[in-house]
Amino acid sequence: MQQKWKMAFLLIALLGLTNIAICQSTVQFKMMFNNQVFHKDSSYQNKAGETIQIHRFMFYTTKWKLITATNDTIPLSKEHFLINIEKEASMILPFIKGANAKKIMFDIGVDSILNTTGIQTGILDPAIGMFWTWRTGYIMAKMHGVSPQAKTAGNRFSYEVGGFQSPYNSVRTIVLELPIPAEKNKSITIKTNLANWFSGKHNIQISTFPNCHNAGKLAMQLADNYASMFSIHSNN
Amino acid sequence: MQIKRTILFIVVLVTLCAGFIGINKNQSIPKRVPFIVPKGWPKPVYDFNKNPLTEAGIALGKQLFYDGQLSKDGTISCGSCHQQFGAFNSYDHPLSHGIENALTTRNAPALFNLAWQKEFMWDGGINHLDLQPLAPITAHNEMGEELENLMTKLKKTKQYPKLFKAAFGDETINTQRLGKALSQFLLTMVSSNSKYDRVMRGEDSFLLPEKLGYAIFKTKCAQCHTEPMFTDYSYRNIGIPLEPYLKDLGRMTITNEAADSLKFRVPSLRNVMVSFPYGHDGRFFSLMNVFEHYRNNMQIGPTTDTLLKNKLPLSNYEIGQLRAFFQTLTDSVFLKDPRFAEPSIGIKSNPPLDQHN
Repeated sequence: MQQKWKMAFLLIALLGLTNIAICQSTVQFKMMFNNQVFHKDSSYQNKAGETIQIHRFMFYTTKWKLITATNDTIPLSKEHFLINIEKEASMILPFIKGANAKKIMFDIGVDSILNTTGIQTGILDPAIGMFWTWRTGYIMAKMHGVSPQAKTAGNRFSYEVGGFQSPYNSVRTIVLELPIPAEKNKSITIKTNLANWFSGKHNIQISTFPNCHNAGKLAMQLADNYASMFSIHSNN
Repeated sequence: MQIKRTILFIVVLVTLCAGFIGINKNQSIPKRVPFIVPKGWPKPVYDFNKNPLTEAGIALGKQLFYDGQLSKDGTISCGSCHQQFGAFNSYDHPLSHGIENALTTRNAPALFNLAWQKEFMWDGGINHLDLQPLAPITAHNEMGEELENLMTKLKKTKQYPKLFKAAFGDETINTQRLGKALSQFLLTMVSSNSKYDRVMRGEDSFLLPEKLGYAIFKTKCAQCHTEPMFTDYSYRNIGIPLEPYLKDLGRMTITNEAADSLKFRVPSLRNVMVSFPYGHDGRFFSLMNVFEHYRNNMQIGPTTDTLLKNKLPLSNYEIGQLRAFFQTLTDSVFLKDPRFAEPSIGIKSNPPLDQHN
């Protein structure tokens, strides 16, 4: 009897493994502000105690890969995606998960070659508005909002991070550990904590820096900050 | 029976073939236009493989270049500020006008020989010719239009879907095709038929003052205004003091390097006599102002070019000969070439009076 159970278990496990190899999986972003689920235009406080409402939040992502337990890299997609809080569908990326992965890797930003070869199409069309026309380069990530602490017209703050050339290359590579064992048929949810824009690595206050509209030091610091905003949802 | 079958077979075959010929006729294949590099000039930097010149592409680019619809309120076209008789600069305007009485912050540069230029704008911030038109189209103080809105406007017209199809094979209108079409037209604007060019080709000879001026040019100007393009495309501070209202730091805006403060692109001296005013903000009305700047008025700062640390001494005699040489850089064939002229206006037989030079 015991033997039979073991056999059945093994068979199920085997089926499961083959399933992993072909199953369609997804990556999903879940927007957070610290421990709360983020809602557009709700009021939050950043680490410096500044009250903020965010109404626009977008970023490009590309070069999605999985790292297996044996440190093999499995490319998921070379496409660029634009994550936009105003478009629910943009926050779900469909990938074929090919193996039992240990880590997931991706870039925030647009590949440098696409910043130097003229005008791109599709999601990278400059008409989308994630592009600087006065100085060539994609806006890798964008956050617009209001804060009483912003000493600007309409108390608006506007962070547009770009720059693809050294020493101000704002592209960041993110590596996240996946829970072990990674379950089959389950999508990966990546929590995205918007509060990190202000305090992920550097403390950035809206009262001092209400605007970022160029490549440079501030853009680099904001990129460092938001590079730390991702974590795998523990219920994965 | 066999013969009948054979005949039937041939008839069917011929009909089929004729059908294919018909299909091919309907599918417009844009006619290629070769890009000719003037003798002795370097290889162009523009990648023609990614955007081969065609008759229909160039025609579409020209149509777009002179179309006010590219601006928000329909009043400003590329050609408004880039006028052929001034080698496609803005005639006698230090700064040009945008929509709603806006004023720009820099002098509209002359346009020619763009296939050899790697970076654009006075600060070199734009790294591809296709992208360059997007800057004036979207700038609030120039044409003030949003790209998405512009595409919607063009799609709604009767003519543009057809013109885009003729140029690119189907009616899709997007930013990339807009940029490519404008590039095709701009790339054809080659200025290589000045007296200087004829002399270099052995078809003409300099008068004495021109010859003396050429020799002075070679010792005092050519390090930066290098032949045959008459620019080395570098960014340099020529001792222009910071303009207190515009506060334009030039190249530093792009690189964030203090060493690039007040550096601007070296402009070509081709067609220099017709492309006044001069300087990135048009502060020099005449060539005489420029010469005066170099020999007397320069402000030497930490980023002033090392070639100009002691200003640029020029005698009245030298200035006279240089002016004679610079006259030979005017390409009157280019200035009157009907291929580049605004369709509704054509070539102006008498360009406006030269007030300053």
